[in-house]
Amino acid sequence: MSESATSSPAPTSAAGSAAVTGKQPNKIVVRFKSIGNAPILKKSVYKISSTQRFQALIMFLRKELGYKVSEPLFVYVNSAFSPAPDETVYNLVRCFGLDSQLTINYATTPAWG
Amino acid sequence: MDIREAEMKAPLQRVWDGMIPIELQLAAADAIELLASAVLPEPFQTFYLLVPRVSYFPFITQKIKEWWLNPMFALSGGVPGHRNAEIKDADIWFEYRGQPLKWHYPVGLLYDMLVARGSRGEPELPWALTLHVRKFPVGKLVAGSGVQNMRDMFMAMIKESDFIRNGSTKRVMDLSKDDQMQFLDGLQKHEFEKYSAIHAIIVPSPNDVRPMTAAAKNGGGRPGPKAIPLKFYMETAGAEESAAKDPAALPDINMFHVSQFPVPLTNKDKEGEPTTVADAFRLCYEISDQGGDAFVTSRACLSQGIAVPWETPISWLAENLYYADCFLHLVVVEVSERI
Repeated sequence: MSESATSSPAPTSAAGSAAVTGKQPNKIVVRFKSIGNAPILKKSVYKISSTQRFQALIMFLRKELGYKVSEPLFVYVNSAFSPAPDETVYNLVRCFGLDSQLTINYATTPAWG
Repeated sequence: MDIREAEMKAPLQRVWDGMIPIELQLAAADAIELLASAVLPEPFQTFYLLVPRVSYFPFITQKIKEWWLNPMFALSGGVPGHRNAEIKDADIWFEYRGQPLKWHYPVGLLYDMLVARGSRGEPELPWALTLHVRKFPVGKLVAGSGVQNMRDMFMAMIKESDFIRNGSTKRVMDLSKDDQMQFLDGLQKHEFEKYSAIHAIIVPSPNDVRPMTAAAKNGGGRPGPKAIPLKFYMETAGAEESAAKDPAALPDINMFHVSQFPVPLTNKDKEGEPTTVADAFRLCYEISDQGGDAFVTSRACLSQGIAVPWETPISWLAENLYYADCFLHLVVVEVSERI
């Protein structure tokens, strides 16, 4: 997926009514945890822009691991599900984060159906 | 079925029964590649199909192949095993007036975002779409359309809604393999009984008419959900500006901002009153109370094609108008030029 498709438009609120306040934080703390045989990252906690899509997070993880697109990598939130790649990181942390942190699990074989 | 019988149906089934008539044309470039002609043979030029609002495009591609494309190839003298006419499910995509349609969004949601909003009068019916079987728009759509990917994606979405509702994905994770298959088959083949039997396990109805146990009567019944899973799809400032300049401008799906938040059932600021749609919107977009009123009154909120009043309790909507993934998908559009 290209970067143009993964960028997120600003909500109407940003340019709309003055009463609408944008409290969205710029950065989200993401914690990566490997499962099974997946290699462990040297650094497991990163900050990522809250407007990024989940796809960008997967691409980032692949880059850090040095994984090619052809190599299998399964990425989950909260040891449970893989969100749609076009979901924003901000939506994910608001719904599934703990203390404003998002936990991402990754594996080289499917871990949760 | 007479009208009275239809009215007696539970809302879940009436929402389930909601259909959108679709009129399909095959993209000219694809027709040339498949049949060496941009004009399809009679009577295959246009294909009509009723698509459930709660379903997804990858679940209807099989019917389209069986009832339209395959007979067309057979009758137009196509050689069996013709390499040129091979169609992979992962290559199939749908387009509405230049825009590729997100295959992992419910059909009814796409219609509400792109047609109900843009209609400014009579909504377009049937919904005229173009079918593409070549050149998947990489970068514009999530890769990997197709039945199995849609089923996997749907399981992830149902776990997400379970997590928001209950704080864990236990209800979905605890489903047996058979139950999970029945749930997915029910959705894919649009068989209400199959789907709803498993749905009742994942989201037990608070109005369940089954006899109450003594514990339930004493107030020790099933705990209610922690929060309501919902997503707002709101047009961004850019989209509204272009619509103001040119009322005939088509809505652009990329100009919708999607916001998701676990909305509690009661409003903490108003002494535990039920959370309304307007409250949920303010929570989702972190809008302060005062100016928020003016903001919402200039807009309509569409759910399952219905403009719902902003003062509707969100718990009522959640019980009656959710999609198959158990999320409420709410489309927020400007009303100034509509209605």
